[in-house]
Amino acid sequence: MNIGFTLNGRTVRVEVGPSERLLDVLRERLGLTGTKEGCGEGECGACSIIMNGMLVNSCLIPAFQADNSKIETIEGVVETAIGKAIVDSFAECGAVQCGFCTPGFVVAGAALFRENPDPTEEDVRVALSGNLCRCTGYSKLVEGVLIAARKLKERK
Amino acid sequence: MAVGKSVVRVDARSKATGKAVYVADMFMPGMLIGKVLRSEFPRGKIVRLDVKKARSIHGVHAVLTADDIPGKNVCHVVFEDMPLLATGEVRYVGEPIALIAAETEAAAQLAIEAVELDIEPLGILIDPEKYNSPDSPILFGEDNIFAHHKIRRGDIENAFAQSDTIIERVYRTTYQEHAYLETQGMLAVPTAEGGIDVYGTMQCPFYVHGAVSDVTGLAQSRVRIVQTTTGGAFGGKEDVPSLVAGWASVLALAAKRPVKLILGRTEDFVSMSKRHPSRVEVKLGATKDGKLTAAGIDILFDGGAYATLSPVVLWRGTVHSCGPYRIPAVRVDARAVATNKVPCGAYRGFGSPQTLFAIESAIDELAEKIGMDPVRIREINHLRRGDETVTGQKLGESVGLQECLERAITESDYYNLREKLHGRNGPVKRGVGISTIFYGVGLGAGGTHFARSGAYVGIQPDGSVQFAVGTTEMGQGMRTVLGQIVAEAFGIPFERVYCLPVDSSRVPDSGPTVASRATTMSGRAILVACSTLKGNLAGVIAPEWGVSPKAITFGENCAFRTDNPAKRISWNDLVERAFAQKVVLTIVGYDSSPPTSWDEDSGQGDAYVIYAWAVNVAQVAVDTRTGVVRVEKLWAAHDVGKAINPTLVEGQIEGGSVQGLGYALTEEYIIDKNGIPMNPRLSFYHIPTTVDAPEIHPIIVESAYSEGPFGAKGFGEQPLMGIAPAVANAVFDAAGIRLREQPFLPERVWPKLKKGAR
Amino acid sequence: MLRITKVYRPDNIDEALNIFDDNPGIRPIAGGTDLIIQLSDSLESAMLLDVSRIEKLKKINITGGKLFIGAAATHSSIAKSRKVIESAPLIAESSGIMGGPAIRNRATIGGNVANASPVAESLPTLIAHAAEIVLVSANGLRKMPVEDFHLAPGKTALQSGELILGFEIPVVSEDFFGFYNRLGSRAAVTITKVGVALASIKSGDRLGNVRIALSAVAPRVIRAPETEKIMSGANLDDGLIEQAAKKLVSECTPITDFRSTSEYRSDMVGQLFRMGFGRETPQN
Repeated sequence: MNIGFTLNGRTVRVEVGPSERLLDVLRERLGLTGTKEGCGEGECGACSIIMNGMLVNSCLIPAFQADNSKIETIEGVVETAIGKAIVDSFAECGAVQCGFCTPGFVVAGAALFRENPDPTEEDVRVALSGNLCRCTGYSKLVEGVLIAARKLKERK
Repeated sequence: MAVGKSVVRVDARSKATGKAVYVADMFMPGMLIGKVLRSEFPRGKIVRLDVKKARSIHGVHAVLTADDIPGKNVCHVVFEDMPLLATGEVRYVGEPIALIAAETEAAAQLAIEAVELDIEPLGILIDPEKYNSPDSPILFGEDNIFAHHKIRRGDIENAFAQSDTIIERVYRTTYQEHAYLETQGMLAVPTAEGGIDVYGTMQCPFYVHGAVSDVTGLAQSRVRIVQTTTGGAFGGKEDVPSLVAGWASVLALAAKRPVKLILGRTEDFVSMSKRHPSRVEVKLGATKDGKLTAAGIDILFDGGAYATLSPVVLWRGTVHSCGPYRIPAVRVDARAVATNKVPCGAYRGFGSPQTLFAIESAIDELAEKIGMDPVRIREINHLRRGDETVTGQKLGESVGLQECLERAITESDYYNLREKLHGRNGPVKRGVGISTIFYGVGLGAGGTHFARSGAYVGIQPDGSVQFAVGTTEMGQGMRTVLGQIVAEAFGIPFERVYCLPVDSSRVPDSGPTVASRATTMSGRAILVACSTLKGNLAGVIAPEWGVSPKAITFGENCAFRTDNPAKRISWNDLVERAFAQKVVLTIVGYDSSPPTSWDEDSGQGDAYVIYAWAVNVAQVAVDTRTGVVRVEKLWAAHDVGKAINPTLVEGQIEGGSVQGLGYALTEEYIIDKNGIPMNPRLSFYHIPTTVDAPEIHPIIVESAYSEGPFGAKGFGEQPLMGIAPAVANAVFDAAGIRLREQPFLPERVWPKLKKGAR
Repeated sequence: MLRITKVYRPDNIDEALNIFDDNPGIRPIAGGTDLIIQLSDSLESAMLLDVSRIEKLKKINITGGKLFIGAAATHSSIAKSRKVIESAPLIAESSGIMGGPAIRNRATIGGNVANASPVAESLPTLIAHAAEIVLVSANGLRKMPVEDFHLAPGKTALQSGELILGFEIPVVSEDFFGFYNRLGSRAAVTITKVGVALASIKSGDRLGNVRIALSAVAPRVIRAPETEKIMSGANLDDGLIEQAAKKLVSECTPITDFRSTSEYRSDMVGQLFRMGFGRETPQN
């Protein structure tokens, strides 16, 4: 099937088979390897992307469903002011360890800010609850998202 | 000053932006996909294995069985009992039988399904406690025992006879899965000149190096191992990556193409190593005023189908089994036994979380029987400088346990907190628990032959410095910490230093990245290299200043006369002059660990060169209606010698604590009585999420270790180790029930609450 | 590995029903959060009918005193919908705790019900709210109570050629009283070990029209008719709650599996029930 969608602001067209997952199309066909596969069943959030403005797990999406959609991956998110702010605060407060989950957390944080630019700690914890991290114990990831929110607010 | 500062990790941005390259992110022209056909039986005879059909599938380039392995069919760990691919008999569900390399995932999968395989089931041994039952099959040696370790100290019978109070209890723990977010994976690339390059996720490149040479039959000189960005390990990428690299390598050589083999999550769960399930029986004696008199401990670890690391994991568990206490009479017997289940191996703590859960729970049970506060009994008995451990080792320096205890008690406001929490009414009971633990840093007497390290340090013509070590970055922050050590040694800014990826062709065998040893061991090798290079640099300017090179100090981006700091030359100018004079500015430093000693029969000796110490205080809420235990707050005090990078130290404390929390409360990997894994996926094996993690207060204690770089000692494993007993002790404080079986699932807590069981 | 042989992506119901007729055995997919996992684990190939482009299936609206939730409405759209929160609060609640945020953005209520798991998050709340499932086929519309739709684990009353159109739920009155309490294996992104939903009308100290649905304590999500009878019209006091809790426990037949034990599940039914009357949500 020939599908077309907006990927990080650019229009792309690809030929996909009915059994291809969006995750694999992004990683293997379009070269965007910042989106990771951790479990293949929507449990870990390493494959988080934003599809039509919503946070989703790309490992559970058949590629054909991406037709006519708007997709943002970590590669696009980090080019936005929100993405940059999250990356900066993650770096500064020590929220990154092995890094395999981190792009997913950046994407989940960015998706949260679009809905709720002024989240409480509880809001952040709930918004990130579908993303597993085995290294950090989450304290610094949550702190990082809260700091990014504050910085973005001050900038306005 | 670079050391002691929380500089931003070198890899933070590349990882957060998704640019860092993990092995699954690598693609090569002609690259094939590798897959493994695995046993669905816990034990059986392979009566038929025919791969003809599989080989004929379109897009399939290689289908290999044990007969096709060009080198030795073995994965050497401690013994050589585990094959790369099963021959004759399979011994656990998930054991590899055949390998496939194909152009696509789909073709590889179809080939797996096309292999004609018949397995005739054989009798199984699943319950480790039945290892010596006459009905059980013999899976290893003559008695199913992989290893038996002992500690014999003092007159144990007499000591118990003299004790005022004695308790005897049994504690049990189950598997823990590492659940690193990146599953195991390797990319093997045949070279044009008949060698092989292997890229992948790993902790121990030199183990992989040896293993690939063994199974391919290639000389070690033609094998190169490169570690890719590693997405978590926690011990889970110590020995098993040798298997994955072996599979990818033999496939690549057979197919004459690069082969990428990445395990799926369920496959990783089923076939890769786990923390050993355990049964630990503890008998403790004390005087009526709370002084420990005797400890008799019997340890049984479920090793799984092959020995792998069990003997050494058990050894660490044995050495730590009596806790950080002075005990005059001790008898410990520890056995690791074979079962028809996945081989267990290394996991953060390496055998000590099991025995520490037992002893730290038992100490509280003993205190309760005597009528003493849990903190008080620890104050009376814990190890101090000058004391002897139960293995007869005299503690000379860096014994920060007392300070850890004092600070954890003060910062948690332990006594007031307890009183306040006990004062509340209602069905949700709250309480506080404590654990005091220690950790032998480095490989110790159990692994002296690996206790070495190398570091390449090269000063570049522009004055920047690159270095490489043989230990690995797996998320803990090693590249950053070692960069700080290099910067500090030369007195130059951290930003001028860069750590290269690990490549087995660049540095000498540095042993494994395990046992919390990377900072100390690679740090020491770096300092050896830096010291030689500083001597070489000083030699350039010393004649001009009329002093010996030894009278020159490096710092503030300069070299200067120690007795007259105004006499100085900038780092860059000095490096430029050194290059002009053709002075050697690139070398490899090499170091080996200070000595240890051990007597296997008595279990006496200097087990480890140095110990790290920790105290955890946990505040829990127990819902007496549902049995659900929630950890609300944790205080974790860790003596790390010196925090080279305090933010990274906090990161280890917080992350390890939450892994320990999962171990305590929710993580249960189940292999049923027929040897079948029940929940090999992340949706059924519950690691903590953002909303499960408690408020954590890391407390850094610095009791310097004179042999460590700038006083540092390793501690990365320790944060996990004391959480389960602290939580169990807190549950007792809150609700008066004693949990002796981990994890503390509501299904285990609730029946005890109902009975009011102690 | 997925083995999908063919995919259809209709824009409207009629088109979808035609495809159904021409392709027996074709499986509807919307968010795919359950189906893709099932298909990945399976060796069988499948044809898919993607209903995610049919706008009508995503609708949430109120007509004639009834709330309609389209089968392809996502859990996050349901949890955030004012209409659902006000008209069928327990349904909004169960959609709000199902899976994680990314799953809620894709998973649909129709998929949750079609999957027919005894631990499905939306089934107990739909049943407590007396929801009817609306099915459409070439023969027209068919409605039935949701509790009659779920037959056994993985089995529903859906006939071949039928598509779930959505759910019709009576809008609750101002004197609605109800709760949905469940226990999982951790605080978020967890499958329900045991769940209790209760919907009723409260007048003074009495409850009327009591409907109770229990999940994970029987092969399917069940009602508790005897407990409902005890409660309806009786004076709501501690004694009644205690009596009803005991009866409720006797009405379920939980099993022991790797997620929990039958003893624990039984007792928790009563505990979650009692907590609901204290307006308490259990810690997980």
